[in-house]
Amino acid sequence: MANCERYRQLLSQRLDEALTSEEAAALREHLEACDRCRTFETALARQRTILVGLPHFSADNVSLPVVTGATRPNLAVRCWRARIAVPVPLAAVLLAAAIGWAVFSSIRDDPYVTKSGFGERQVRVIRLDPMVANPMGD
Amino acid sequence: MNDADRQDWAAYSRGERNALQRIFERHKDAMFTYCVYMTGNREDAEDLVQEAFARLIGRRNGEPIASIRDWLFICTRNLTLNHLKRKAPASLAGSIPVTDSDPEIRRFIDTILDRLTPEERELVLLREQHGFSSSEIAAMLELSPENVRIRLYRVRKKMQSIARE
Repeated sequence: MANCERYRQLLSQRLDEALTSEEAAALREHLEACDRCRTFETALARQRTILVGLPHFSADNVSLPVVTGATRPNLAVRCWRARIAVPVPLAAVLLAAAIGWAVFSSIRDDPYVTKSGFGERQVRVIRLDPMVANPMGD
Repeated sequence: MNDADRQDWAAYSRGERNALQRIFERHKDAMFTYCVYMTGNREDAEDLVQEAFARLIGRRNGEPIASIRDWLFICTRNLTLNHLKRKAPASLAGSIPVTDSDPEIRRFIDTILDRLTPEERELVLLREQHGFSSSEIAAMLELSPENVRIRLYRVRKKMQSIARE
């Protein structure tokens, strides 16, 4: 029935606000004659009962945020931090290792560094240009 | 704003931290429940609720808040929808514990609620589970009350057609 759509809208609307007396009377009259809209009405009522009875949950693990001067980073920032939590420190460690290796290699190959013996302290010997060390040429 | 919220918010603005705790205790479960049904994930829901309260704390010296409950729900809703843009909602099937012995509720969550879009789901949850009026929902979603009623009708019709499948 073409009008059924309109009456079903009224049935839904009735759950959210009071209908006007004219709307309510027209709806009553239609429902007396229309089995399918009565079925719709019953299903709506059952649906609402289930929705109202859906379980609620206790936020036992949630605590009130403590704000101590610094503002708490928002959720987007925390998600972003979580995503970089592993790769960035890993990259930092690798970079530090690479720099360490480069420095070690340059010291090992440095002609100005001599080893005075195994296990002893390395001594850097700076060979001064004789002209700089003794500009008068003495 | 309900009287208790109004008094507690005023007390918190004067520096009484216990007043904020009372507001928190009054609203956290409803917000958490909303977030669990929207995200399907309890850990995400916990973060979202905490985030909303962190934002409320940030409003302590800001503009007056007409209704703490509505403000918290609007804030939670915006945070949740932003969160769902980054992370798709988990399936509600199995992630919502149902202690009720009514198998119809389990079937409703798994087969009907789970198939609604986040926008459709929030509409029926706000209306039926949390008891907001269509006018309150309209104000929260920045829609006209008439538009909310039409949307609610469409969602109810959709839920019935899913139930018939």
